[in-house]
Amino acid sequence: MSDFVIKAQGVTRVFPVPGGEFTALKGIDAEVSKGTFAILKGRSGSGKTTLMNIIGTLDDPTNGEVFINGTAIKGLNEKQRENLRRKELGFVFQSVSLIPSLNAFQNVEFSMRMAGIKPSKERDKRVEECLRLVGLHNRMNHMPAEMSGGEQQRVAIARSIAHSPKLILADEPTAELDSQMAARVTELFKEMTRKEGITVLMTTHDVGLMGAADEIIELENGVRIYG
Amino acid sequence: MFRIMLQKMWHKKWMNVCLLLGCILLTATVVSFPIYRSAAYDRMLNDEFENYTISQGKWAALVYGNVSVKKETGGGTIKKMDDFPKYFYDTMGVKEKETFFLINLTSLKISSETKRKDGQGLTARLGAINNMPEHATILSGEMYSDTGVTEDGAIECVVSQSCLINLGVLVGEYFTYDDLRYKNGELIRMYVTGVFDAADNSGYFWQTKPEALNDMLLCNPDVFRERFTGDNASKFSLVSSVSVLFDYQDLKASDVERISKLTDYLYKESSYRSVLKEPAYLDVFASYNIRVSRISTTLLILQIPILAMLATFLFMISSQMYEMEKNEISVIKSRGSSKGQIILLYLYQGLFITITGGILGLPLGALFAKMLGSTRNFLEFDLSETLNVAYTKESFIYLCAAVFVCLLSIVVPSIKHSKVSIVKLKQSKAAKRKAWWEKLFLDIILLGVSIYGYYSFNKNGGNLSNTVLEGESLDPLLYISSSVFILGAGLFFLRIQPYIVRLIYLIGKNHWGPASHVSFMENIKNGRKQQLIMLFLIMTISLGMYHATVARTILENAIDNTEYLAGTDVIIKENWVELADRYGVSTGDYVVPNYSKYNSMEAAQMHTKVIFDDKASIKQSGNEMLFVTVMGINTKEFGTQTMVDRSLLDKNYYEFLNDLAVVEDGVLLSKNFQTIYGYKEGDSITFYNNKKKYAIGTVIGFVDYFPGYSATENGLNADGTAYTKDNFLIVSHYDYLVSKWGTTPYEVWIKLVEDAKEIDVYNWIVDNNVEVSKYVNKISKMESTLSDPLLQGTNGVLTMGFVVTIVLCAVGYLIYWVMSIRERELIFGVLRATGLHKSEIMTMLINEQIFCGLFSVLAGIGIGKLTSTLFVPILQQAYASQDQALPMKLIMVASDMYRLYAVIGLVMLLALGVLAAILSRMNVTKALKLGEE
Repeated sequence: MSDFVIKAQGVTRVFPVPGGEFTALKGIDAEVSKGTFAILKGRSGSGKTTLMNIIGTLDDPTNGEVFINGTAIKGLNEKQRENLRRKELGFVFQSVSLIPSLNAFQNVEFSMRMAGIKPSKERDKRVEECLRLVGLHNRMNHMPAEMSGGEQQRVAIARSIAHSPKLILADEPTAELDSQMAARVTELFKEMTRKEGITVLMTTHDVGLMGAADEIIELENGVRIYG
Repeated sequence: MFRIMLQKMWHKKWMNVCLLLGCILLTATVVSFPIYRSAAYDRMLNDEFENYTISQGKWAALVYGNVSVKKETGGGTIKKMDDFPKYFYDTMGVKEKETFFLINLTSLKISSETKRKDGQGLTARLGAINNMPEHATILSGEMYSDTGVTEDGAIECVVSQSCLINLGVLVGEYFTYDDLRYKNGELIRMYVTGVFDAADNSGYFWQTKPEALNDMLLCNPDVFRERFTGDNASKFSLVSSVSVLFDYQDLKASDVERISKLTDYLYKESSYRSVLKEPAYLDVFASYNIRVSRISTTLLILQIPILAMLATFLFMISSQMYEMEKNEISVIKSRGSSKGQIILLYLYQGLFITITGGILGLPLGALFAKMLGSTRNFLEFDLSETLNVAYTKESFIYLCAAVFVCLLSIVVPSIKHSKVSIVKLKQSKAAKRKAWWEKLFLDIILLGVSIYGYYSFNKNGGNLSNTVLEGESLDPLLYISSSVFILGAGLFFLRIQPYIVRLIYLIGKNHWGPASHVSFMENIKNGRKQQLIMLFLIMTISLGMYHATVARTILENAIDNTEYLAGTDVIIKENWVELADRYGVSTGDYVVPNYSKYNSMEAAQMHTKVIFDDKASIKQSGNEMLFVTVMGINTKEFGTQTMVDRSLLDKNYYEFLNDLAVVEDGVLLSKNFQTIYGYKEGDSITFYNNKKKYAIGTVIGFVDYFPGYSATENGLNADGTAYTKDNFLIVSHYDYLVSKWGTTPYEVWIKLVEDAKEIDVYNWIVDNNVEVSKYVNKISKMESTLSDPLLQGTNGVLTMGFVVTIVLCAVGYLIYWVMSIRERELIFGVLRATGLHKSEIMTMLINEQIFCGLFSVLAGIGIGKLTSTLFVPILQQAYASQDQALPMKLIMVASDMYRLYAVIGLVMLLALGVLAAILSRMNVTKALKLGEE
């Protein structure tokens, strides 16, 4: 067993398109070790999201293999994948992805429900702690519609870590934020890796954020470039 | 702009298809009303005429005029009469059926030229009937010739058989008027060419039957007019009588007013006024008009809730569409379009949809009208009985109104949405306020109003049936009360529904899985969005149940009543000839008809003699007479062919008959003897027939109901007000009655074999030459009950309304859920990504369906039942006929309810199925990407 949280070997993904095929990823190899803040870099269309989806068990590679915490994803059935996503993974999406009918607290709590953590004082504490971490503990009763985009995204981050996953996958979480807020969010991710020992894989095309990364994986036209 | 509109519509094609569907249904429902009404009225008018013609044995559509003129110079009056038929048909614009035109000389003495003794000084008339040869057959001799005169100038005549006997004329004989000469002084000579009778196929031609023409020598009318009218008229006394018969089968309801007015003018003001008699068809029109006034408002009001539902549907769908197009609208606005331009865009779109809907809805409306006319029962059609429908001017007015209402429902929501800009849109998304009706307590107000209505109608319930009897249609408030009650109760349920959901959530707080948790939260926080669709569901179901109950109750009660009043399948009373002694004084004895012939009636399963004397009497204190009905029955036979429902009597009907059977002088009395006159069991009662013969009976029981007996009788006084009168009944043994009263005319009550037809009975009557003085046939009574436009129209309107609302409900419900999923695709993607299984998402949706759909269904069922129990008994009185004898029964047919539940269940399953299909096609990665655009 290696201590790589993510290990990708020769991942290739081909989509059928009208009149042929489109290769989104070509033999990607990548390794991210525990507690790392890794950035997946590349222009739009470079294959970032495809790779994220495969790592997030939402999609399967046409060829190659991905291991999460040493487990080969290919062998997992739907149920096992869901369990993996519920317990070991946290997701942050580009656009507002909070459940509109739940307030900030309930949104964060929701990921813990999903992970099967029973209601308790501790659970409530953990929710507060996560919201405090993103600096929104005083707004936890607010509904998503009553918060700004940046605030919503921070709630989404709190949500993604509440159930103490091994790996957070953040797909363009800063795309809709201004540069100051983007830097703040990036900083938050970095903090998570330090304080909670979580591994974070974040995609972005914002060059200004690269400085925070422990490791950068760069894609261009579906191919990894080592630079 | 037109292109933008079409593009926009194509983009939201399903929504627009739904709007179109709504418009088509609304238009069709609205248009079906005038089309059905005019067709049903046509039929009703025809029925009225038919009834008159059959019951009176006379053609109802007839105008009769007659004039006698003495030695008029120039003969203008006769000429004018001659012109009458043409004048009549032309002014009335009706189709000629028959014209019976008789002109004759007043009676004077004629003598045979053979000088035979009994051929002298006969009192006779010479006359002529237009178009007679086509309607007569010659029994002997021949018809007068085309020239109408013999070679020596005598007038050729034919006579009827009765005339042949009466005057004793002979065929081939010449007659001469004793004291009457032509203007030039010549003798008036007549030659009898033959004897005639009415031709078999002459129909209603012979308004004066040949038998009645027993002193008439009939000649060629041209000859008659040439020799006795015009310039020659100054010498003669003439009688001219004319009957014009027009075809009522071609009459339309819309002709009634015109014909009434013209007729009025004809016999009151026109130059013919002195010669015309008031025609019978005015009575037919009058009774037709009474029925019409009862029906038209009733049917219209019944449709109102259905139309309101349709308009709400359109409003709902278009609101939903604008909700979806909010972003587009706000973008268009921020690019500088004015509010007016946006409304205009939607106006064009609305016009496009509503006009298309109108064009398609019109023929569908005609189809609806046809269906209305073939309704046999709730949700039951007999397509073999179709109505002749036609588009009337009225139906186009209704069409325009319908299109306008559709347009309003579609465009009005756009006015609200046209104000939205991006900024406001974001603000409004955050806002969560109570609905306006909740703040106004509209639900409580509506409930209050309807309950007030309920109490006030209940209080003067008795008056209600009188109002109806007097030919007025019912207070619209009564119908509206029930709809208002449903609306109020529905809104009230919406008010408390969130608390119910919250309560359920709290009860199982620690047990809900993540999916259920979200759905609870979703409903508690966003439940208000669903209020419209929930209200729609509640209204559909409760109105459906209410309407089903109304229709069933009205119909079943009418059927039961008809069945009860008929007593048995067929009742025949023959003409009993009373015997007179040699001085001509009636003996009170009769020629008893042969009873054994009834054994030969193949359609009869059994038959029994029943004395039914409604002119019997009892003496009260002070020797005052009280008229009663006395029945004499053979208990065993009578019991085997009659039935009274157990619930109507204190004990089983057969127990009463059994009790009667064992006491020779026993009588059963109607309950009102007990309640009004204080009779007790064991009392003896003396009753007389109208010949003062009496019988004494021992009271052995009291019955509220008995086959054919109605405890009260409703009718109209001369001044048009309604009255109610008690009927009293004494049931005795047939044999006992005969032993006391002597031979008494009886009726024969007949139970028919299973598949017997009315015509079988009729044929038997004809074959056996039975002279019938009373004839009751349940089959034909039932037929006329079922085809009464008031009943049929009500059933039809309610059935159509039910079908239409179910369709709307299904479509509306599906649309709502498909929209609500599409809106939340991103969230579902997020949930799936975070590890929620498809089945859990499905659980979420099922929960939502329960909170929204199932709750509404249950509420709808409850409200429907409650409304039916409260309001149907009141409403039923509006339909109770004049001879309503049985107490009202509230009929809820389980199968109707199951049908309703099945349809609703199917709709909800379908909705779930579609949702599941959408969900399974929804790719998580794609759903997420959608959010990234």
